Amino acid sequence: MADNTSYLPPEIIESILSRLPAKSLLRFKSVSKSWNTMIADPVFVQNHIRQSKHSNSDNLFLCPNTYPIPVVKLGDKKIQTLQRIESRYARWHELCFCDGVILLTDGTYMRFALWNPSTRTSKNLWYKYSCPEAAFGLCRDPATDDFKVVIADSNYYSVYSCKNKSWIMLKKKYDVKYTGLGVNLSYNNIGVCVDGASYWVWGNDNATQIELVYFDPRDDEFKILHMPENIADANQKF
Amino acid sequence: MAAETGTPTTLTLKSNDDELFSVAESAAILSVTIRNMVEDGCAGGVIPLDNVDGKTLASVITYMNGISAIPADEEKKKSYRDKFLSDKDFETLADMVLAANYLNMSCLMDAVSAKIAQVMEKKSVGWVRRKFGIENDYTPEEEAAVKEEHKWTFEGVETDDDN
Repeated sequence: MADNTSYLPPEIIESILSRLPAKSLLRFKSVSKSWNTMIADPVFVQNHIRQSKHSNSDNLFLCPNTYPIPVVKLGDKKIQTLQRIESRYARWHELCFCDGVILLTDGTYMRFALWNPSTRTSKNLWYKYSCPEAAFGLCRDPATDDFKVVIADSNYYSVYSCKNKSWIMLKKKYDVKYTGLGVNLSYNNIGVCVDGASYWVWGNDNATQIELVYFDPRDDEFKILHMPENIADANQKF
Repeated sequence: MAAETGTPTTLTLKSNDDELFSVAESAAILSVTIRNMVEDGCAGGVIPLDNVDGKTLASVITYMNGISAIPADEEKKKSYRDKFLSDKDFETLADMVLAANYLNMSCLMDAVSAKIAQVMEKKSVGWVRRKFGIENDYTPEEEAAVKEEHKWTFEGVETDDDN
């Protein structure tokens, strides 16, 4: 019966397309205008991200600060390089990663870029001054699906919203030294994205006391996640 | 009424080309559509399935029997589904996804959608248009512009296998 399957209703076509990798989806934008509209739809894009996270159990990692960037698969007892990604950001430093998007800087810490290797799209950002000692975070507001870049230095922090295409600057509520751990600033002030929020470890000068601090993209606030008391070894490196 | 005369353990399903199939009720109620009919007491006689042809229904019933024979073990069910779909061509898969949607069988719907996605992943735009029966409504200039914008996604496309 199926020489011609144009009778597949849009909800079935969406269910099929949501399981394709980004590369195939971008190619199939050329199929027709209605496919292009469907694939570019923000709701479809969010469903696609959710579907990919749910089904992708391949344990894939990008290895930063090597070029071209290797995509590595952690398998049973072996690590395998699947492919290397070339990009225009050859000598840039990777700072943070969230939902497939990487925050990079060219080393000036004034010029930044958000780069999505799956769609090969990117966006350049300028900060108002060079901030090599700041803390960096990248997160996604689950309520509005807005990507946010956070740069926190001495007394203030700035938040870039991809939706509003603008920076806002806010005063810090806590006296938190995001750069307080270790000597290698370029490693210790980088936030880790978990479930849409950005987390950092911070401590006092001797690192005898450590805390987890996180940026909550829903209200643009920094919050402290208190450590469970039984974590005794505060000198442990994170 | 089925409930009063003792619930039948076997149901009779009728395809839209008038083929009749007997299937254990316990397997058939994987379909929410059929389960609702059974619960409403209208499964005593023959259940007409107007949107499914005999060939597809036979295949769906094979799946119903196969998957319901596997105890609650998601790994085993997954490998059964993979094997069940492994030798199906695109047209059969398209019929099955429609049937799974009509019968409201989410596990089959998910598995067939994923299988179709796997089949089409490396295919050309022309292949997709032919298989899905989609008319190209771009002007040549518009189509060239969309292709140019995503030029890199045309690397590594398989040669069409449907000519």
